[in-house]
Amino acid sequence: MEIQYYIYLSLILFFIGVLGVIIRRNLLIIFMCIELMLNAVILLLISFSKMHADGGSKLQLVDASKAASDGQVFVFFIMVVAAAEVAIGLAIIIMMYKNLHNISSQFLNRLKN
Amino acid sequence: MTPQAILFCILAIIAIVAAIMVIIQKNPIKSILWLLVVFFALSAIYFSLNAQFLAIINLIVYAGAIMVLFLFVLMLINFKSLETIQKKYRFVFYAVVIVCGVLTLLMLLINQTQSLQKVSILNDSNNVGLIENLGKTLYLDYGVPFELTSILFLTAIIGAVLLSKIKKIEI
Amino acid sequence: MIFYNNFTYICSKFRTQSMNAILSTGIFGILMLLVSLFMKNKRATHTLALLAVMSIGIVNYQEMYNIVYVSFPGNFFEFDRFSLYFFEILVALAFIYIALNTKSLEDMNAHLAETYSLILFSMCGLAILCFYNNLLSMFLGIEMLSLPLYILAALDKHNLNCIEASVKYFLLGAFTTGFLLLGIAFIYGSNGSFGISLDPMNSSYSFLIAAGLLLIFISFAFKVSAAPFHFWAPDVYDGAPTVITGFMASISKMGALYAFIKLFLFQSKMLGPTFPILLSFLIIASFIFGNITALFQQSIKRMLAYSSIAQVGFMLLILYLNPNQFQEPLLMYTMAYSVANICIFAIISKLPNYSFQYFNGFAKRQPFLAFALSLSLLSLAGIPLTAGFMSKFFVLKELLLTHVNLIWLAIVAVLFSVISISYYLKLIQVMYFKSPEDTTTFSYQLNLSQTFKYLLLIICIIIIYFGIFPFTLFNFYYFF
Repeated sequence: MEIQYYIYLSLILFFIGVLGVIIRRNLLIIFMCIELMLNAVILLLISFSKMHADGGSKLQLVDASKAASDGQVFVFFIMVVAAAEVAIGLAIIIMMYKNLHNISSQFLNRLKN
Repeated sequence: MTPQAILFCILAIIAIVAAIMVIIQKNPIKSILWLLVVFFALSAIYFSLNAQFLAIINLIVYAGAIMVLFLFVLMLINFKSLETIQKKYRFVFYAVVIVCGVLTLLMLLINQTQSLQKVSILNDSNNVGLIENLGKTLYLDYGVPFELTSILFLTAIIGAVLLSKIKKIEI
Repeated sequence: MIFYNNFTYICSKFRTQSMNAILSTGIFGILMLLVSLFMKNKRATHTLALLAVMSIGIVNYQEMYNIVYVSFPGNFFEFDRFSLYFFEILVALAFIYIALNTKSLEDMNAHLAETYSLILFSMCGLAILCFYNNLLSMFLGIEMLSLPLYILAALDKHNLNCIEASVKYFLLGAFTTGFLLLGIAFIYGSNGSFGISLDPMNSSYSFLIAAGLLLIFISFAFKVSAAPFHFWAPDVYDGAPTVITGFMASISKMGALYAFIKLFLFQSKMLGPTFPILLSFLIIASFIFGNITALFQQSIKRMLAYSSIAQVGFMLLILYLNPNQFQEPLLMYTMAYSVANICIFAIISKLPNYSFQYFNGFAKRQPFLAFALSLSLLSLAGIPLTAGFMSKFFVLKELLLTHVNLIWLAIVAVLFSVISISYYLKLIQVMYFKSPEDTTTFSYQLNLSQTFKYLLLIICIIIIYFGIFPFTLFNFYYFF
């Protein structure tokens, strides 16, 4: 398997997420699409990590296995941040529901005028 | 086609189809379930990429915790009021065209990139993705950022409590 | 034995680093939370917060003289002298901010100690952004800066405007985090590590590095609200509680700007000749959107939001400079812009409404407040003898010393800052030369403490002092 296919897959998933953020109105689904984007990035990092571990990259890496583990550890931090973001984001969305009784983005138009 | 390639193709198709279903489903519950399918397919791909521990963690954290949190929130919210007017089809059409254009451009550029050509992912296994190696890296090399993330979590906890508290608590 | 082996392994492998500032901000944030359990006195909480910020400043100052309390292994941070000094200034600004806004923070929410601890956590993110040396710590810093801000922006829970602002801020912030991470992943793929010193030897990987840097550039432009990625800023600044807007518009914005400058001043070569073109596009777009839209605003808060977008255009001119000469303009701009913004937002957070009509004849009712407000507005506009003039002067001077061919950009900048004077003067004119139309606005009594007025006086003195003797700011950096 060549590395390109993994990059293609993660880019496709990432841009499906972007598309969802643009066209959907339900804030929960917008938020889920953001999670999808983050997961696409995780896939990209893991495949690059595998690429470095195999020595397939044309870099003269001093320590290929260190480069590979760096990539995988970064994924941990993405998950940590994603979890923290979800906690705050869902709290904000629930707060909006309590006050507006709706979570559609078309109700976010008070400040424009 | 090697068996690895066939497996990748199947999983990739499952992931892409499920991701598309996430954004076209009208019912949010179904969206969440399709997103779970995406996560399972991606976890399988992580396994094949020698990231065994991350695959498990992905299932536990994303599929297990985050998606369940989404489901809970959805249950808390009254369903009837969720039916919203779809945006205009013209707008959706333009968005799809633009995003697909950017995607195709990026994919063409990556196809042209010299350094990525003939770089193949081997079928072997190494110990990068095992708990032993990752644990050493995380606690020895990445100790400082690991500790700093605790502040991030503390922020999230304070935020969730502050935002969802209904009235003042007098102690 | 195993422990000892691990310890020697750590010590041999890495330089140790002291993290006085980062640790102390985190610890004081947690301390605020704990203390709030036992201490119900609001006055004591204010004092504690001020003491905490002061101790952070002292600890950070000591680090400039290599007095270190705790040190850790790793190479995630780089504690150079300029970063330490820059963070010292941010801490000083935070001290002024908290001292001015004690009453407003108290009125905003019942949870005073939690608010303070969130502000301190956000400053922990700022500290990380000042010292980062690695894409991982940069990412963590950005998140640690923004997550408390998402919460703070949402604290006025029953105000619909506030809810809208926080939802927009949060979703767009999380969306850009995705792009930032994609950029980091691309750079990792081409570089094999998360260090920020990119290797130009790997020219074959240039596409991945360029794409990654471009994505990071976009997400930073979003964070500092440069046009065309500015669309969230007016709504969020307008909807969020005014006290918090003061924090977002001054201190946190300058921290994010320094992180932006730190990455791209050194790495912009990887983007090749497209980078100056991209940057000039961003700058001119910020000037146009910020200045022209600010002319037509009816609300002071929105006008200030648009004017801050225009100011970002000016600040981004610093990215053209060489790594050895960006310090003076950046320091001066941080000082002048933040002090003026803190002062303005502290004053208007005391007022019941933000329309221009309210300010009719404001100078007769509150002569001192009107004076402080006018001085800060003049400083933002860049009138001579104020700190704002000196900041703009230093940016343009260094720009023209480096790139003579960029004189057209300097001329555009000057022209737009002439336009900006008109909307700043509009407010001053309303305050001094218009008589109030209805007398109902008089009925609202502002209860201002004496301390608030003295602090405003000190701010006025700072603005004028740095307008006349700007080199004092750099003398501290060079000689002490």
